Amino acid sequence: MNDDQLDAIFAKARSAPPETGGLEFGFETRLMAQIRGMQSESEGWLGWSWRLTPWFAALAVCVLGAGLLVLPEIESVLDLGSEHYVAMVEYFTGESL
Amino acid sequence: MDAAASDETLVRSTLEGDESAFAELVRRHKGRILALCGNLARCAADIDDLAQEVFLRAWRNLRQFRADAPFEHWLARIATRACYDHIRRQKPEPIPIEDLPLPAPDDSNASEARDWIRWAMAKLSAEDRLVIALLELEERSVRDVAAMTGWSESNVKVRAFRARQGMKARLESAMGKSKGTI
Repeated sequence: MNDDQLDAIFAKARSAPPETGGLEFGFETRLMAQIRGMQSESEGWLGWSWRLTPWFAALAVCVLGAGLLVLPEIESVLDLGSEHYVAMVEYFTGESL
Repeated sequence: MDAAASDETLVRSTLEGDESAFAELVRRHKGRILALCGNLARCAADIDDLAQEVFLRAWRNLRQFRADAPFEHWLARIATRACYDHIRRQKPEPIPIEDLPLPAPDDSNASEARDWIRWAMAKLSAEDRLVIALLELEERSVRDVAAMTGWSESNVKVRAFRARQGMKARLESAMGKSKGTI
């Protein structure tokens, strides 16, 4: 087969474009319905996230309170840790800090 | 919505929240987009899904439209990208030759010729199919295809040459056979 023969087949194929007339009917209506569905879905999630805000605020207060309660213990552990760290550095470097 | 408004005006109205402006844009351009999708999708349901996907992408990215080029060109680039994604996702599905019209490709009528073209394109890579559909079925220029795909003009030419060679070989083999799967 040569290029001219292939071009002739392409030309014939172009003269019978795919039938899409039926698909055009109501196309934009279906599309806009899909867009509206997507919009309401995303608005739904946004609404839910706003409604959950008080619960998240309460959770944050609880976490903060718990943190304040255990903070002194953590500080004492850290102090102990820093003493050990200074001793270790002095031992390895031979210098007193 | 004013049917005489320019595409750019309709885009601005859509961004300001006027849904009917986007519906008017869709009404104006759906014919060309459906035709492009029809050259690459396998069945009517796929064509419809693909065209809907094109306009959904356009709607989501409408803020990125700069009016430095016509809306149609911007939409054609989105459509090309969506078609390319679609044919890359498709599993290769060889069409048995007995499912094709019997007249040889060069003796076929218009709709038979389209079936032969579809059959010969089935074994091409996604990139080559896209190039052939745009160049030969949509009759776009090499420059247009390069702009729509983002590939260089020489890349488009090389792909078109290779795809045509593959299609010629396949159609030539079909011309000598009557039945059986190739």
